[in-house]
Amino acid sequence: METSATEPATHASVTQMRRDDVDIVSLVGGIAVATLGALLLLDVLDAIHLRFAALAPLACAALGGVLLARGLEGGGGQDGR
Amino acid sequence: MDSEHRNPDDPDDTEPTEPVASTPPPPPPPPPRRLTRSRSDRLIGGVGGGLAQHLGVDPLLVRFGLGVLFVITGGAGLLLYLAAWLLVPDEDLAPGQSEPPRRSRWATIGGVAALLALVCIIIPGGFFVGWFALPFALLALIGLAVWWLILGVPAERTGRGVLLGIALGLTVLLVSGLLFFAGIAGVAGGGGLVVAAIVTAAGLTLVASAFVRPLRWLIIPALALGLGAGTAVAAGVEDVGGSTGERFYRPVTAEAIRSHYELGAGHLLIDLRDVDLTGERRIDVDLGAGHAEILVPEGVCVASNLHAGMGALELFDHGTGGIDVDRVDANQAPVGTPRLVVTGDVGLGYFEIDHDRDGRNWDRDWHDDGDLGDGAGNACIGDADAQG
Repeated sequence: METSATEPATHASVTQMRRDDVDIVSLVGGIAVATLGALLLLDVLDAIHLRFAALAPLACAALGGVLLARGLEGGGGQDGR
Repeated sequence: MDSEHRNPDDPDDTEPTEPVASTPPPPPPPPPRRLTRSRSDRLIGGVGGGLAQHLGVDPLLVRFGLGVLFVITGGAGLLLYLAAWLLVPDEDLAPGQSEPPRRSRWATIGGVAALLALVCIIIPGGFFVGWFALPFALLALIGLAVWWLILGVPAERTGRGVLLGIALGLTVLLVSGLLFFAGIAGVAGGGGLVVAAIVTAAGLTLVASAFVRPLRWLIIPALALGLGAGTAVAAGVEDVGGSTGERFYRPVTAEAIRSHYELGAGHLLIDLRDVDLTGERRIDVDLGAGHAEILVPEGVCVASNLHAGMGALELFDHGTGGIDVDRVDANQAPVGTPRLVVTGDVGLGYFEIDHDRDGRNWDRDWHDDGDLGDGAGNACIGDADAQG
């Protein structure tokens, strides 16, 4: 009986491939921006009342998350994907 | 043959050997990770490059963090860097590797910067020059960081490449600054729902693009627009409505004074100096973002209940400022003295009550909630005690 010469992809390699297919910086930035937009929508619709006490940490978390994702990504950036 | 009686000199008199699988020797244990100063990625002393290698992160991120550390520690971080430069050893050279050439351009830039810092410290008034130049240096660094964030690669380490990186990065920042104020204006103008929808759509687009084709350039403008709108929303600007611009009111009779004034964003001036006030009058002033100014005649006792989402409040010579600031001056008028009670709310900006527009000191320290002048002007009983 003939068997396939190729090795089945391991779970780790599949995970790595998926990770390489996703631009983490855009993902983190998008989540941050979408969260901010959703909070704005909720405030405008009077569902919540956004205050500086919540906005300031959110802004720091958004900027920090994007920078951290960019930094942990390494030097290759988009070109290196 | 008995194995105990073999002749070791007879090549035929040997025990047949079993084929033994050749297993590679186990790899030597990795050497302990040691913090060294990088030779290949060195701008000044190689501390940042070595730290980045040690932590396994992008060197620019480490350098950005070091820059922030220098700023927030007021120079103490610089001493830490110098100590690391002196104490942390150089990275070992690989066999056959020669010492990389020094980056003379960066060394020159670093030397010039150090000399400028020295001059600023030594010469009289040098600190002023230093503080004047610092924002520009920070802007340049921020521009380069923006370039790095968007393009994913540091600016080319040539004079032209660095200048190009600064220029493009600052252009993005300028556009983002405009978008920030556009977000504020959008909310102040009653378009909060539209702005929020745009920001949400931009975020979802970014998330989707992460799986298809990254649109990193969209992150900063979208954040700027969203944070501008968020600032306006948090300040309560949208509660005022859609009016923007300049509003000047100058009633000449007490009857002409409205009980309520409001403006979405802009400059709101209420000049009551021509009014002959008697008894007690109450006015309510609501400003979303901008500058609210109430000018009152001499000989009037002004009591106030003011709030600022973010900004500054001033009653004559008493000022206070910050985020979510309240100021209550429950002053009482002597018998026969008119009393004006002002209830004011400014979402984002500056609210002041004064006798005239001259002699304004814009450099006041708003966190110094004390008597910033002679306290004259408010014809009330006792002092105008402030509660910040």
